[in-house]
Amino acid sequence: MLKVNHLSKHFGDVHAVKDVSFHVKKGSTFAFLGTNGAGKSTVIHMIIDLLKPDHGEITFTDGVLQNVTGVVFQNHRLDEELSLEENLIIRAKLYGIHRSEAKKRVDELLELTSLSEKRHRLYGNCSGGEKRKTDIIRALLHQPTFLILDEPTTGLDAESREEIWAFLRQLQINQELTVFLTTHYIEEAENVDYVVIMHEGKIEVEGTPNTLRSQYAKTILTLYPVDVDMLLTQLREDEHTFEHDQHTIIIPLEESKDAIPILQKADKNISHFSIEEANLEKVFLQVTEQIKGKVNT
Amino acid sequence: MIPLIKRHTKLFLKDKASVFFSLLSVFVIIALYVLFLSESISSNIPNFEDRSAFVFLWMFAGIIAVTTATASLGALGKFVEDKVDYKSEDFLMTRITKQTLAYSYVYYAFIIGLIFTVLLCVFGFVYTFMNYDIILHVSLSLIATIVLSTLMHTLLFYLITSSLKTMSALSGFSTIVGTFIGFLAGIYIPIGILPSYIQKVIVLFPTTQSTVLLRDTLMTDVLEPIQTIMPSEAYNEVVEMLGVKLYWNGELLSNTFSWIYLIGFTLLLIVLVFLRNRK
Repeated sequence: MLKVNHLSKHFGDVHAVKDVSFHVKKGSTFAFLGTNGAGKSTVIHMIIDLLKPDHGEITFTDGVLQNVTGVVFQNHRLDEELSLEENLIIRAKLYGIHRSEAKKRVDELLELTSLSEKRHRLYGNCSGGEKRKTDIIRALLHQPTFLILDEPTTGLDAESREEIWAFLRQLQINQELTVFLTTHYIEEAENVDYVVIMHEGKIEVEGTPNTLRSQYAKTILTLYPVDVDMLLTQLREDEHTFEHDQHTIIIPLEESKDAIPILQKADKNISHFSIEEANLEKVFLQVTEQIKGKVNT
Repeated sequence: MIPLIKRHTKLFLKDKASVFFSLLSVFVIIALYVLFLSESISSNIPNFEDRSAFVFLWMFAGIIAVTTATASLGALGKFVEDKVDYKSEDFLMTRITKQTLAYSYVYYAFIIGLIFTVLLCVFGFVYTFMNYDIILHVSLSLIATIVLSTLMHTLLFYLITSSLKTMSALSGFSTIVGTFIGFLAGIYIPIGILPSYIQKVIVLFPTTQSTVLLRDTLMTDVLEPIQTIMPSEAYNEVVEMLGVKLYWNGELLSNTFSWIYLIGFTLLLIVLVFLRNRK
């Protein structure tokens, strides 16, 4: 769907993007993560042709950019003084969609997002969640197959974020969309198909969330022993790796089910336990810490 | 492009403050006219039957020239605002090109400038008829001057505002234009009163040329009677002092010169706008 090869961009002396390459497969959800200033937005701006790369190549395999791509920008770009419907009809016409067809398409998408009754409300008077849904509708007017979402849920409350994601999941199934996503909420990338983590203009790690979790983060089993010494002896006999203090024993695991035999054996020696799953946030923190470590040494 | 022009126009007209500030110079001129300009100009010309109409039409022609400039500049505020708010980026995600987007602002500002100028013209025509019993005629020359002056100002301000990146820069530029436009049109201080070196600079501005053409057209009915009651030397002094005719080194600049100057300047701006958008 999208091939990015050896992309580089300088702003004066700053090397903002350094030889970035990746491939987004059709129908997949691709998450582009990174710290502030990592170069994510620069890459997106080059993908959508608002910035010219110094080097490298961007190819959409399914057609030209404007036809196949819908973009949801981080900041709202619709007109506050116009109603939702007016905003959407104007944009639809800019895609060359005839008024009657545009109206039909807008009706369908407003219905899908439960915004039909608010179609005449001024965009500026809508809530953050309603505005974001309208932004997404705007990106889908011309029925693109590739949807770029730049920080789509930033500034939204938890309920609105969940609503937006439910809508996006529904869209992806119904419209066979390929989704390219950047987000600060790393938990939002847990269920994507592929993750790229950028730092200071470079891709540091990439892979499926499962691969990254297994490589960079462990599931943590925390035991709260009744008799610490007895439990420690038992764990040493079973050759487990662990850390401990007087009240807790922390055991890193490959995956959650590895906790079952440990818990079965330790049954009478623990008062309770907790399991903290490996997640992308841990991966992200681990990767950024590794990079900082490299820089410091 | 039409949906974009409609969108810009709709948003501009909804923004009452933008509309007001794009006509602020006009309101200032009217206020100055009522407060003292009318009297001070009257005192400089001999008393004759249509003297008050003469002064009003002199000021009215200046207002029309100023409106062709400030209305289009006010409209171009939307152009800068869209850049600042990155709305232009959103438009470029559709199937329109950068050129289409750029020209949509030029056409829209031209249309707004034209509409506001025509509305003020209608108001002025009605006011002249009701107060001075003079029926002004819509001549080809009047239409051509208004269209050309609006187009020239729109193109000029488009070129300047396309390099502005903040609303405060636009606000600063609008203040400069609002302050100087009354001088260029020779309203705040009649051109003939200014020192000769400043007169020479002012004559170079196309706004001054369009003001002269408008005065020539709109003041026809009042210039003829004053010509008959005054010696020609005194008449020439009055029209030079009030900027009804322009002089360069003592030589009268003809209307043909003003037309060529204005058309030439506009053509140059068309080329510059084309080159800018071709990049």
